[in-house]
Amino acid sequence: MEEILNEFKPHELVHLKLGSLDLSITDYVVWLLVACALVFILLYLAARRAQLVPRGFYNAVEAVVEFIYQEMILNIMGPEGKPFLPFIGTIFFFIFFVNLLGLIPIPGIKVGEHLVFPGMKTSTALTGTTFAWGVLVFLVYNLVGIKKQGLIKYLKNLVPSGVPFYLIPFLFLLELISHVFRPVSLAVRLFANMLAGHTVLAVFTFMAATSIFWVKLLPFAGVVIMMAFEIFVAFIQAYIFSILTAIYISGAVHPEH
Amino acid sequence: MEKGLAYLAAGLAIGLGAFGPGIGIGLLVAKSQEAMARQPEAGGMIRTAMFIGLAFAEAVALYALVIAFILSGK
Repeated sequence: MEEILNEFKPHELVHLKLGSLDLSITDYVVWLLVACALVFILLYLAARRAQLVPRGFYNAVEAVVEFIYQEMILNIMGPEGKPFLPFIGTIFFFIFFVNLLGLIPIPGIKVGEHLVFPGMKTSTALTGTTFAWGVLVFLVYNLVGIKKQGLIKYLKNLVPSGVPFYLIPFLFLLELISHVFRPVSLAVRLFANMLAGHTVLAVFTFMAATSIFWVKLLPFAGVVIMMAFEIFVAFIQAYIFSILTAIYISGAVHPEH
Repeated sequence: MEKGLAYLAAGLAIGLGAFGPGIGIGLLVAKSQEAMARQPEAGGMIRTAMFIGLAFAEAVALYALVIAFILSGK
């Protein structure tokens, strides 16, 4: 168990420290940047070749964007949610790509002492990445709500109207706590899902590698099945993260819901 | 001795922690299947709501899993 969990420890590639702030480039950061570049290239190419009748690869991208628009914008925020499509779409594609990158099982390659190729890692299996996104979503939906309603009205609308006056301070505190825990639950859900899935894969692989020949088949079948399930989970987690973002923004913009 | 207790606690944490969410997810999926069978034209909306509910139920088990990881890494 220890050595499996050690697999998730980040390896420092470039040491960079600002005082007590650790800005080192680890293998997780590298794969985050790769995912970032992939999403940018994919969406840029797809947007540049926009046609009336899309074909092939561009058609696939358009179908996903259409799905995001239908499911997360129109169904939850209504037509006035359209300005948030780029934000929510970017979150969806980014999380999906980061989740998928870690599923490609390529270990790190070392030449002598130097690590020439950092092993494929899922950056979302680290709390730093997911908490950063959680805080970003928290800031965005609160700022959008404040901009739309004004600070005083926004704070007032946290408490549902029509409650007795002596309950208002209590409910306000309760709502405040629930709002603070929103980014935490977003972050921990994504992080724990990815870490758990990859740990299960690692355990099955470990079992397949260490057991005797005739028993190997069983954990190997487990690896194959879990791999398929993990691809599904990668999609579902990206979907959940972005749809919850849409719900939070919608809740901040329309207080009555 | 202490390490053994930590492993035992980790096992108990995820075992008991998965108990409630397991029941919850079962109920959730059963009910939404029922709803979808009754009203297939509302299937898309029900599915969306189901996945959101699933995420919340599942998160509880995952909190337990994080505790289990922390304990077993001790």
